[in-house]
Amino acid sequence: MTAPTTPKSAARGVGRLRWRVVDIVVASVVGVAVGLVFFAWNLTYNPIGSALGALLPGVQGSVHGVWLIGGVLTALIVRKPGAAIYGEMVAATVSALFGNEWGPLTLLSGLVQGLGAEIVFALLLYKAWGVVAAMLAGAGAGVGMVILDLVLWYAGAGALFATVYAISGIASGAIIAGLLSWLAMRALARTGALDRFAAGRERGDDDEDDDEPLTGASAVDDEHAATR
Amino acid sequence: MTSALPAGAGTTTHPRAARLAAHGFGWRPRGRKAPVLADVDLAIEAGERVLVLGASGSGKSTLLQAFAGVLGGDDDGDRTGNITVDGRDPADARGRVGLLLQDPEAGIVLERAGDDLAFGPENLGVPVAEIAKRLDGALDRVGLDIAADRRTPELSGGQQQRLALAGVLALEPGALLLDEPTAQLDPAGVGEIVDAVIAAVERRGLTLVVIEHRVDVWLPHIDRVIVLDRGRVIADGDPASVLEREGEALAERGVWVPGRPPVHPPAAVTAPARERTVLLEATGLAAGPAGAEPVVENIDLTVRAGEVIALTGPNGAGKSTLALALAGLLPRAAGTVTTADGVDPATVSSVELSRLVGVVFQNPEHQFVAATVRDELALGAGEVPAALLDRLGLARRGGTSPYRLSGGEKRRLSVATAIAAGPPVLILDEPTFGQDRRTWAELAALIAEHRDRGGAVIMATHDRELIAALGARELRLPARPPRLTPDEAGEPVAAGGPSAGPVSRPPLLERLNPVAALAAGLFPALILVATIDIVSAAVALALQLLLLPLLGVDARTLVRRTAPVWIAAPLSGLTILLYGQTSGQIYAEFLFVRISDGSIELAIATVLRVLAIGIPAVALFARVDVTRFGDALAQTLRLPARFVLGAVAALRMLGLLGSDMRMLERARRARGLGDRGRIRRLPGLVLALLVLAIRRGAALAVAMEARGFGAPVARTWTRPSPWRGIDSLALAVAVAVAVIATVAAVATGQWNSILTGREFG
Repeated sequence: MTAPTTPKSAARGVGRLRWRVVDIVVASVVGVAVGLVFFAWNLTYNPIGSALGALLPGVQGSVHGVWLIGGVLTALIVRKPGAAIYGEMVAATVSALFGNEWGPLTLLSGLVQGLGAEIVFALLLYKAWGVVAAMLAGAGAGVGMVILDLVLWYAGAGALFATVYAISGIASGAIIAGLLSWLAMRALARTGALDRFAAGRERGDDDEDDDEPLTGASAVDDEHAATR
Repeated sequence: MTSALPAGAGTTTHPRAARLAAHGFGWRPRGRKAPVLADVDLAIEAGERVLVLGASGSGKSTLLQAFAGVLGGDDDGDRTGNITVDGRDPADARGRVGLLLQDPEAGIVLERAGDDLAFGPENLGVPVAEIAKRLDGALDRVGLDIAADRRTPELSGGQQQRLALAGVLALEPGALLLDEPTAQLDPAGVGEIVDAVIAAVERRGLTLVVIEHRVDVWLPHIDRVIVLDRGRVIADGDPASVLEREGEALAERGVWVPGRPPVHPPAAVTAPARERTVLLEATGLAAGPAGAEPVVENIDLTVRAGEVIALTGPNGAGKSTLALALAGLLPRAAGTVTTADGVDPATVSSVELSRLVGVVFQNPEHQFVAATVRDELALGAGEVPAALLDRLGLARRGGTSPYRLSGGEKRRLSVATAIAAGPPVLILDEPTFGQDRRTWAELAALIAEHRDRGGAVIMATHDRELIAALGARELRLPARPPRLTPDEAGEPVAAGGPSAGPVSRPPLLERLNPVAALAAGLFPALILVATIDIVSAAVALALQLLLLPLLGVDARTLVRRTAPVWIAAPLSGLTILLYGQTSGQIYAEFLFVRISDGSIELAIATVLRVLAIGIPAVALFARVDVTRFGDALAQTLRLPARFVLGAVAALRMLGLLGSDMRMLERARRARGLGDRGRIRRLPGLVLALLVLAIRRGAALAVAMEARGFGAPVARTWTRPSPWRGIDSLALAVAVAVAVIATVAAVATGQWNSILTGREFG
C-alpha cells in the first residue's frame, strides 16, 4: 500500500516543509474545532473543576493537558514547521473569543504552549511523527504551560505547589496532548479525512478499496470487476 | 433576471471567454493506485457551454479542479500530459477560470457579504478602486437583495450559493466551472442559481462547464455534452445525440437523464390487519431551536402502520425542526408526542429511543459512530447478516470506515443503521437530497420495505417524485416570514447598549485598531507580572477601573463580559492562600496546606493581580470583529496574510461546527449511545467533529485557492486597517498605568520580584 509513495518522498526535501493552501486551511479549521472542544470542556470541567482545583496542591495540572491538544494535533496532521504554534494559537483565539477568564491572555498561553511543542518537533527536524515524538511534544507544550502559569497566575505559590504543578502539568501534556492526539490522528487517517496529507497515507492496514470513489455504487463494481 | 436564450444562441466567440484544453492529461492522487483521470484529450472552445456527465467517481470534479489550477503539486499526486487555459498552465492563468462548488458553505470565506465578494480580487492584487467598480451591483446581478454588511451565515443555502457565484464572478473569469452547484439546494434555490449563472454567462459571453447529476436542469442552456467514465472521455458531442447514444448507460450509472425516470418501488401492499395501529401521534406540537421562538406550531399528526408521511413546505418552514421534534430529539415548546406504547420519545432513554424511532439525518456523517461499516450495522442489529451488506451493495466494504464510502453508499448505510434495531417508526430528513438516480431508487426501495413491514415513515422532503413513489400523505407546512435577526433590527452587533444620542460617535472600543486594543490589554500584563505585591496590583486595578468607562461600553455589559475574571480571581487567591509561600505566623496547617501571614498577603495580592491583568484584557478584546482583527494582524502587524486569512476563514466556520456538534449529540442519542456519561461520549464526539471539520476545511481550501488565495502576488486590501493617534494614545495610557503601579510598589518598598521572591528548594 505504501510502496508507490516511499521512493519519491525521500527526495522531497524542502517541498515537504512548504505549506500548501490545504495545509493552512485545514490547520486553521482543526484549530477552530479544538477551540470548540475547549469550550465544551470548559462547560464540563469548569463548574466543579475550577472550584475543586483551587483547593488542590498543584495536581490540577494533570487535567490541564487538554489545553495543549491544539498544537500537537495540528502538527501531527499537517506536519509543517510552525504548525504546532499556529494550531494552538487558533484554538486559543477561539477560546478567547468565546470569553473566558483569561481573555486575550489565552493568546499568550497559546503562543507559549505551542512553542513548547514546536521546539520538540523542530529538534526532531520535522521528520518524526510517531507516538514518542507526539508525547515529547506534548510534554514540551506542558513545560511552556507550567512556566507561564507559575509566572502569571501562581506567582505566590510555594515550592511544593510549584513542583507538583510542574510534574503533573508536563505529564498531562505528554499523555493527554501527546498520546491522545496521536491516537486521534491515527483514527482520523482511517476515516480517509487525511488522504491529502502525509499523515493519511502512511497507514498500511486498510482494505484495498481505496479507489472506490472511482466507481461509486456497487453494481458498477461488479460489472467492471474484471477490468480493474 | 429571466433566463436564457435558447441553447446555442450565445456561442459566438467572445474576446473575454477562455479556451480550455487537455492533452493526454492524467492525474493519480498520491496514495491511490489507480488514476482518477487518464488520457483525457479534449478542447472546450471559448464561449462553449458544456455539461459533463458521469457516474460518481468518474473524475468529473478532478477535471474541473485541474482546469481551475487547484489540483495541487507533486505533493498531491502524479500528473501526466498537460492541461491549459488559453494555452497557458492553469496556475499561470489565475482568475481566468472561476470554480463554484457544491457546498454553499464552502464557497464563502468571510463573515460579511460585501467583504466576501472582495476576497478573490484582493488575492489577485486587483487595485482597490477597480474592486469597488467590479462589486458595484454585483449582488443585484445574481438576484440577491441583501445589504453588503449582511452576515453570511444568516443567508439561506440558495442565497449563499448565489453569493458564492458573485464572489467567483468578481474575479472576472473567462470561464465558469460549476461542480454540482444545485445538488444541495431546494427547487426554488435551483431555479435561482441557474438563472443567475445563465445571466452572467450571457452578459459576459463566458465559457461554461457544468457538472450535474440532473441533466434537465441545464439541458436548455448547453450546447455540448461530455461523458466521463472511470477517468476517460467516452462520449463527446451535441446533447441530443450523446444522450440518445449514452442515455441508458448513464441512467444505469446514476445520472438523472430526462425521460428515464428511476425505478419506483412497488405500491403498498394491501392493508394487513395491523395497518390500523397508530404508531406515532402528535397533538398541538410546537417546537423550535432552544431559546428561540417556535418554528412550527399547532401540529396535529397521526401516523399509522404502513403509512408514509411527507413533511413539505418552503425552506425555513420548519420541516427538519418538526422531524427532529417528532423523533424526541428537540425540546418541544408545547404539545405532546406519543408512540404506540404511549411513551413520549423525548423522555425515554437513548437505548429505548433507538428501538422506538429510527432517525436518518440530513448529513449521514452526523450519525456514524463506529470504525467500520459492519460495526455500524451491528450497533442496532447485533449480528450482521452478509445478506444485509449485500442488499446495501456494501458486501466488499464491511471492514471499511463508513466515512470512506461514496455519498450514495453513506446515505444507504445511514438508512440501514436507522432501521437496524427494528424501530416501528422511521424519520428521515431530506433522504434523497443530492442523490443520484441509482441511490434514489435504492433508498425508495429501502423505505418502501420498512413501510410494507408495517412500519411508519415520516420524511421531511422537497422531492415530489419520492412522495409519489411512496404514496406519501403530505403535511404541508406554511412559509414563515423570515426571522428578523438582531442585525437587521438595527443593532450593530458590537454595540454596547443604549448610548447617549442617536447620532453619537461609536464607542472608543470600536474605533480602536483591534491590534491596539489587544496590545493595550496585553502589554500592561507583561509589566505587572514582574512583581507579586498588593500595592502594584491595587494601584493598577484602581486606575483601570477609573479608565474603563472611557471605552464607551456601559457598566452592565462590562460586568457581564468580565464576570469570568471576577470568579477566577478569588479561586486563584484561594489556591495561594492554601499553598502560597509561607512566612510570619502560621495559622493553620494540615497535609500540604499552610496558611500563614505570608500566604494571606500573597493571596490578597493574587486576587488583585488576576483582576488587574484580566479585566482590561477581557474588556478590550471582548466581541472583537474577527474580520477586522485579521485585517489588523495582516496589515498593522504584518503577519503573513495567508495564515491570518486562513484563520479568519476557519473562524467563520465556528457557528457551523457548533451546530455540527449539537447534531452529533442528537444523532448519538438517536442511535442509542446517548446514555453514556459525558466524559465517555466526548472522544467519539471529538473525533466525529474533527472529521467534519477537516472535510469542510479541505473543501474550503479548494474554494479559496480557486479564488486566488495563495497566489504569488501582492495582495490588496479593501478594508484598510490604519493605526491612528488614538491607538498610540490608548496603548501609551495602558502602559503608563502599569508603570505607575510598578513605581508605586517600588516607592513603598513593596516590590516583590517573582524570581527572587520564591525559594525553589
